Amino acid sequence: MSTQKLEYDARMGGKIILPTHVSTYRYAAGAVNEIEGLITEALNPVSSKLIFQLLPKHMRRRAMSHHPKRLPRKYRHAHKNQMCKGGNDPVIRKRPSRKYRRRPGNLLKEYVRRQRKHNWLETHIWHAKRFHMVDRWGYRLANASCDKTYRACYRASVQHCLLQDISYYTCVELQGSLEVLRNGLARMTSPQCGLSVTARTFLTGRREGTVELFVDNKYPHGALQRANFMWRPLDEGESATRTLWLWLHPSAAQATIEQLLRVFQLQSRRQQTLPLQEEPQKEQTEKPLRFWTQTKAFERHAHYSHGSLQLLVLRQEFNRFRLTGPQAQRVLASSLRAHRKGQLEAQSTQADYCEAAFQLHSPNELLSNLIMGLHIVDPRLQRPSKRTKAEPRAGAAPTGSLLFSQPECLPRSPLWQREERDRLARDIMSTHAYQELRQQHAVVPGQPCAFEEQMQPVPLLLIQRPGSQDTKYKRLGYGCGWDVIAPAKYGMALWLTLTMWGARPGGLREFDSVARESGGEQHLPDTLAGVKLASVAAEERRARYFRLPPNKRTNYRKLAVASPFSAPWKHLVRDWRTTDGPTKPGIGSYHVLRHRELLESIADCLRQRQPLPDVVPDDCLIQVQLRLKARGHVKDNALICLPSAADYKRSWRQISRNEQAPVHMEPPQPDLNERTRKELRSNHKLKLKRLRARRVREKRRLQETATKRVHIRAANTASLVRSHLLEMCRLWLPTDPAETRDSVRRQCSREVFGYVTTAGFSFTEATVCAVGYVTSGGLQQLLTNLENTKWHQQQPMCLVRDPDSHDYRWASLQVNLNVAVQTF
Amino acid sequence: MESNAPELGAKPRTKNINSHSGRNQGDGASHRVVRKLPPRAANDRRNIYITSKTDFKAQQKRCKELLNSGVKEIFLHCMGYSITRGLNLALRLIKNSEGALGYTINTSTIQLVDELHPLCDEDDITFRQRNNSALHIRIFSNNLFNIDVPQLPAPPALPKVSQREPPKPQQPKQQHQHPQKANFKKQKAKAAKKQKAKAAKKQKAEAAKKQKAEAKKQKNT
Repeated sequence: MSTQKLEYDARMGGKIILPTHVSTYRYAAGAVNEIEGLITEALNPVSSKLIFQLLPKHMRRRAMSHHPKRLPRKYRHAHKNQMCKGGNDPVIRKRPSRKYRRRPGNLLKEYVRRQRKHNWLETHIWHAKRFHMVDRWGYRLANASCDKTYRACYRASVQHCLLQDISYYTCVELQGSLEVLRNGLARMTSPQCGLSVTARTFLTGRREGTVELFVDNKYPHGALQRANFMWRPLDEGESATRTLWLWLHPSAAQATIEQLLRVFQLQSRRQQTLPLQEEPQKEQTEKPLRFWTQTKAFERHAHYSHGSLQLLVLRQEFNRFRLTGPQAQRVLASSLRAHRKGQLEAQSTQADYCEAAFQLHSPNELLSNLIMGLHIVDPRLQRPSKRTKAEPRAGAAPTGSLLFSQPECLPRSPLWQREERDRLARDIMSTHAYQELRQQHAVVPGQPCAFEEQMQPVPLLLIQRPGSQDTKYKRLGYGCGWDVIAPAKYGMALWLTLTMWGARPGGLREFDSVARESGGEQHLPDTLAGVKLASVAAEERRARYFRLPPNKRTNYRKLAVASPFSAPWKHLVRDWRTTDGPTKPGIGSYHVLRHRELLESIADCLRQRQPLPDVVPDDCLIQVQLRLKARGHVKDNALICLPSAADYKRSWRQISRNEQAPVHMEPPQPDLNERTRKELRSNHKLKLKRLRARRVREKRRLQETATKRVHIRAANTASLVRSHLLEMCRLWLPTDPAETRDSVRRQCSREVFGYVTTAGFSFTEATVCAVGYVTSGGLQQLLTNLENTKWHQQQPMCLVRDPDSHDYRWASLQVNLNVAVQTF
Repeated sequence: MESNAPELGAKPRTKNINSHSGRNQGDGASHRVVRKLPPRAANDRRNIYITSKTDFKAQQKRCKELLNSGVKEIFLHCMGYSITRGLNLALRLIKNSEGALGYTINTSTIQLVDELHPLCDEDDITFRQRNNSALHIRIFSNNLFNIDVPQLPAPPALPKVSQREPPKPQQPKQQHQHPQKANFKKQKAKAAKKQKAKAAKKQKAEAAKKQKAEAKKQKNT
């Protein structure tokens, strides 16, 4: 059945017909191709030889490959490149000597190079010597001290003074008429969260405010971040334009600025079209150019405007230090000496008020969020010779009138003026110059010199932070302190003075611990920063999990934990949603409830065992504070569960017998994947073994015929191994909660209605405390269950379980009312 | 939040607290009441401020250790609800000391200020003043070793005390005496006394010398 194939081969007798003529254009096209090929060949020769091997014999020298200088100069560069590619770089430069590297000029160059990727704060070098540094939000920031100072920092925040550098906050200056600002900012905030930016109490500039920012008209969804703001106090005469400073956290600063640009329709001033001024006498027939484009090559601060409205992004223009703890009063009183020489009346009034304010026992006794301006002498002059604890000055404590009435000029400061800031940065006496002068003039070491009186005064802004204001929630005044805003370049001078007076420096870890101790969270889980931090933490936990050997890994399938590394808010909200239908605003949307009145009514309902009000949206998360009632520890990402009737009964028994055992243990679930994993693993090993055996056989076969030694072929199993690893990871972890409904709510023997975000031992409460979020549906369920069981405890309780454990433990539950207002 | 088992004199824990501390429910809730820390007179180790939350045993231990470490006197300041707690603490300390401790009690009224934070944009922050009764208990050790210490005519007056009698606005300032200052006074008095004693000794010695010399003279003659 096979058809015979024709073979066109002259030897076999096939017929070949040669053409009688060749068309010239075809020939020319072929020739052109050939010539092109020759040219490229000549330009980039493809030869496997190295350059020094290509040289004619009379130009070759011994050890040429090793010493590039033996090559003709024109070949040296190419030679170096070739050798670099091979990995055996013959010209690896030695690292320059330490002495060379540490020369000030070279050191500074190195610092500039290292700041290309992540910006440094002014106190960076000081911190880098003492702290573990991390890359966060485009900055390189201090995380925690290399010493063990966790508890010491807590003690400092309660009794002494904790000092943190928060200069990484971005200051955004908005300038425009009040009406425009009010309308624009109203679109990004909501009156339900608290006072707006243009509230009367903030407009005078005597208090700093806090506001939650959202994407334009997206409230309650689309939370951006929590921002502090302060208004420039009104000077006499001008009242048309007002200036506002927004202090943005760098995690969401860019997104917030973009929102502001969109809301106010601002345009960048970097490139702008300006009308061209033509000389009128020139008569031209053509249409003349009327506009020209001006482009600024460098802009120190990004500048946007629209009409009279201006927006300036002041990055690295200020230093902002945070002092926490009652001792901050003493530290500030010792390190800030008011500049009283040749002062205006307003400045001396400010100085008087500040000095009286620092005599008080605690910052909390002043007006909350008070802003004070102050001129001080250079902070370098106020240092003790040794690190000393700042002691209270003898003298009568001032009376209570400080709280009621502040002088009108108190919040004024030249820091608001750009020229003044530039002047301050320009005229600062460098530490080097200062030391030189001291060497020349100081006769007695440690004594003040005459030239020091000529050093320029430094304007500061001091902002009071009231700390905890709700006695029900946290002890009064915990976390109170001051924020000090200093002009650029004065950071290090002020920082050293503050630490020398006994303030304890802390890092980013201390922000988290102070926030946890005060029962709140810095970044809520629906803000940009919160989402990002959670995903980073989840990735870290996952990586750690798979670094462990298999027999040390927690089997989450056996423990019935659906999402072991991160809290699946979307799926939790999905499972607890009551109104199921097309009206829902989109799958996977959730937000933290910030509506203060609603939160208050929820708290009332919890206290009085009434059903929750109907207006509570079902896709919201309610921030709660949890306290473990007895033994046990809770880690981040723990489950918050609903207790069953049997648990309440058992609880009574445990109380009467004083038992400490967990109230309920999760029965171990069967792990269906265990067998699969084992098989997969053995199969994989077997496969690799087989492949290797094949390669060995191949090598042997080749070796038989070859004269030279034959090496075994490379394995090339990387993709195989990777796919195996992925499959193995999938088999280890529980199924993704996105796949099935109710996979989060009913993941274990108790219904899950919330997750813990931060947890740990709280020193203020002397128990393990946690901050978590629960769904409104779950809270409602908890209340209805309580009615049936006649459980009359003071606070509603829930069960808490670590993702790594099967023990359920009792925790009391309290709604946080101050979600939208930062108190720490 | 309850921390430990409530001791005698602890803040009563009512089940249904209608008026939440952070709110004013009566008049349409136009503001939120925010409490401020009560003013403290002195903040060294000898002044102990009794709260209703701190563990009773822990506070008792702290006082005991303080007194055992050689401190002559301590002050317990308590206010409002914690007055009974402070009294309990003082009485228990004295009872356990078997006569080694004595006490004096002063009553006073402390002026507290609450901030009324506005709930709408148009209002500004306002203040509310209220009074609370306070108690200052001075506990001193009167054991044998302390007898030689001369009793000062005026014991250090308690700080921030406006007496029960209708106070004149300026008077408390003058009455008010810082314990540190008092301490300083005491030290001064001590120093003066020492100097006096020294001078007396010197005089005595000189007198003795003179006498001796005279005796010698007499012998010689």
